[in-house]
Amino acid sequence: MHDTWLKLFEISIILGLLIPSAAMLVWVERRLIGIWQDRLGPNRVGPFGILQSFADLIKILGKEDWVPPFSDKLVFIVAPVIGAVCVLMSFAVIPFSPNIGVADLNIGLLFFLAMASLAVYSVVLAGWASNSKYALLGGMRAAAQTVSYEVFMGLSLMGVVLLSGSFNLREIVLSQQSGWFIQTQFVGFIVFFIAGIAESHRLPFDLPEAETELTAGFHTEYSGLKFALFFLGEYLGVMLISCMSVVLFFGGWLMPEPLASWLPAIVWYLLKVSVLVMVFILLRTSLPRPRFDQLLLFGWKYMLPLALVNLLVTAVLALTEVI
Amino acid sequence: MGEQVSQIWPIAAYFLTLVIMLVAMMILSHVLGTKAKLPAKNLPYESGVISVNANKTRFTSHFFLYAVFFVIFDLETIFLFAWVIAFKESGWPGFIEASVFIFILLAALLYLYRVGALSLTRRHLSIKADTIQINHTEKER
Repeated sequence: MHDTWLKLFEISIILGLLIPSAAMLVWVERRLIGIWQDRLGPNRVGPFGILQSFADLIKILGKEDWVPPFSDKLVFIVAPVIGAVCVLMSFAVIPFSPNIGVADLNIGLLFFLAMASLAVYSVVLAGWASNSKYALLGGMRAAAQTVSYEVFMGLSLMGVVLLSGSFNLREIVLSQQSGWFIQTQFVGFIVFFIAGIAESHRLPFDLPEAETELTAGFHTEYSGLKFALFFLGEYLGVMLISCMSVVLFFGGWLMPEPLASWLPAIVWYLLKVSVLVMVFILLRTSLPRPRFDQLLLFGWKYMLPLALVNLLVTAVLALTEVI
Repeated sequence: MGEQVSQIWPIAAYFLTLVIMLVAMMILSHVLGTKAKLPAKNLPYESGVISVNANKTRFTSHFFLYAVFFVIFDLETIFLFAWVIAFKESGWPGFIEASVFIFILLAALLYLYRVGALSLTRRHLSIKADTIQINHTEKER
């Protein structure tokens, strides 16, 4: 019984920290882009503008909860909730440190892939239910993009499953004690990261919401808190892909011995995650957006064969006991 | 059975907490939000143009073929997951069977690329289709 309460406490702490950290990420991103583009970024609310996201959140709560009369009302309201639930559910299987994590699921990796696939419903339903042309175009693009990048997201992780022999994320981390999988699975990591950027609709793959051509894509008609949920979902998606990359390729909370004793495991884990999050932001500042058909063709023509060849090469190397 | 429950109940609890929290946020914003009545508020946004046939618009789905390929290649992923998790047990025989499977699919992908099924832009050239046809037959002669 004591354990049950402890677990419930842990769950509420994790949930209570995830959402504010997504809000902080918005601030971090705006500040960093400001620095890289040689301008200030938000610097008025609190020291260094650190409270900007919370000011935005309070303001958004006071905005009208508008449901367009021309929309498909029930689906319109449910769509952003689906998105936020799917992304937050994926965090349930992530092992943050040796003993922190919501659930130690045997099929953790498959659970993550399933939730990542379900998240597209939110975007497609939002685009469809809005009954607006920009929104519909954005939703259709999101469907095509997800369908194309979903395929090799799963394939790119198979090298890791092959080497560790488990779908359990905790066991995958522990099997990296002799060396992180990034050494042997570099190609797999690159393919997974690209698929992850596409799944979380980030630049350069943010075609479903490309503001220069589609205004705001699938969430053109959304405002107030429902818009904030999409926004939250996107930033949580960035954190999710970074967390998963660290768990699968960068040894999770593990560090080589002299370093490991300096800081607690959870701190090492969060440090690695924040480095990857910065890579996401750096990509956003530096890369232009491709044309939509180029984006899709790139996925099918290069990424899918690359993921398959990576799997075959890994299998041969593992069978000949090179790695 | 006991182990399964201990794995799954935290996820169920997490899910419930999550949904309650999100619904509470939605209700809070509904209560706190302002309610404005403005004439142009209830029109779909179309960059300033008054919307025409807003809910009857249909776009051609160029992406339909991708959805079909997705079904094929995603099923492949499921089969491969089954092989990968049993990799150590299946050894070389398993690898040979899996690689036959992978090479058939790679060949299928190459075929799809060669017949132009993967290119979206081809579809937009339907006006020029006749001229392309003529050039093609001329080459054959």
